Amino acid sequence: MSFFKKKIWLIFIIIIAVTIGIAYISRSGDNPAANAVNFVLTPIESKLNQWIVRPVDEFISYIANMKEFKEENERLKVENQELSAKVKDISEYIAENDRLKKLLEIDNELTEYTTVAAKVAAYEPDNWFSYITIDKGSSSGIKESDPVITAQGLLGQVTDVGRNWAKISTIINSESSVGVRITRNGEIGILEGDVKLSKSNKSKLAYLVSNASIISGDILETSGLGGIYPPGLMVGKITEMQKNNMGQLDYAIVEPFVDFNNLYEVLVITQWSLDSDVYQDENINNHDDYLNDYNTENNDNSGLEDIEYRNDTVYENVG
Amino acid sequence: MNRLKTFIWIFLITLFQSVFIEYISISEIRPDFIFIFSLCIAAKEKNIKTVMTIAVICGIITDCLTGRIFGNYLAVYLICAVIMYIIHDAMFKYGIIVSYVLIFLLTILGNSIFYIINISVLKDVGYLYSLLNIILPTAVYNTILSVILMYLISKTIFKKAGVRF
Repeated sequence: MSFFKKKIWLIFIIIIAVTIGIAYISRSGDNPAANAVNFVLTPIESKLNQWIVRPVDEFISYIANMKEFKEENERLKVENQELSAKVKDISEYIAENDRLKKLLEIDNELTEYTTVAAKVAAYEPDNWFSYITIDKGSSSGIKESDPVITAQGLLGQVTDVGRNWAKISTIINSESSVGVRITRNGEIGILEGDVKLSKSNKSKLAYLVSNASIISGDILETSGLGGIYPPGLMVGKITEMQKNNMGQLDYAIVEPFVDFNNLYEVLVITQWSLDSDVYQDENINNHDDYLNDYNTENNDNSGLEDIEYRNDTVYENVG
Repeated sequence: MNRLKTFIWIFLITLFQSVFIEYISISEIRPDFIFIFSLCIAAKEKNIKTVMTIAVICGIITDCLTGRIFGNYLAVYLICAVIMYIIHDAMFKYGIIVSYVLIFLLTILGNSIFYIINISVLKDVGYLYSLLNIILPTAVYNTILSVILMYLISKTIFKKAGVRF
């Protein structure tokens, strides 16, 4: 064997040893090599996406869906007429709603965002995780942990940032976890990525209270617990419930609203604050205060305390 | 082996892997072109130093693209490329089919190493599930694409140099 005769195996062992050493002391996003590679590649990847991938993809979709478009067009015309009639009624309701709010001196729970629009430049090259690279970075004000949304809902969170690129961990990524609540009843849980489910672009809702009331079709939004994600961002809907051996609810399978197969533009939320009497703090970093506020607001002292009791550290690492 | 062409190949394959990969994935299974390329080079190149250099470059690039712990892919690519070189060196008399069998087996080995380092410690995903649903389909996909890639590499990078088959 020439490999062993030449004793190059010594170099081989040294490289492997150094590699293992580097692996344990560094992360790619923090080192100059990763920054350099992404700095050069991201603009090219972004342009390739813009000039080749997207037009081709849209053209193929257009051809494939032409018949559906015609049918949809007819249906939308009818729907448009019906909606026009309803708009008049709704305008009256809105005006009435505003008058009543002023009368009762109640503020809306409005969240104000500062966002940066970015284009998707590249996808994760392996089969194990779900990351996306965008063509904006620290020069546009993007920071680590910034939430990322699309027109459909929550996409994920920024995990690595370079000057002109940023890496987003999507909500289906197996390393992701997001604090969510069910819009129907306010019950909270944690949306976790899962290697198996990510293959079908889904994730799971875990850490639910034992008597959680959830049904298929329930809509999830961010809870705001942890202070990373602002509350109220649409996340997805529950499609299936999984029970454990005892017949109790183990976790629910969630289908995110975001279409991961057609991602072109995203919005990175670089700053957010809550304009509300209930959430006076700009960021909800102290989750105890938030839990108290939440329970007071909902006249409910059970749900959130139960979860906190079961796992006091749950909220430390989630958005 | 033409160095300039090799680096152009690496650059183009890197772009292809990061930009177009989502569109050629089948059932969310993505082939690893950079890995296949490093193995194809290991199968055709006579100089072990060149094989190792290409494997290290390809590994570093994939590590940079994935943005996680630096060195994972570098180690995997280097180990697989050297194994490819050694076994191929000893068995090339059996023909080009050896290359494809080795690419299939080394994809399984490489992904298994990656699974042990990264996935098994992080999440509750069994090896059998990963083997059947992720590793084996990836190995099959990689092997099929390696036929095309091996041909293209033979016609470009190794056009004038001696081919080992």
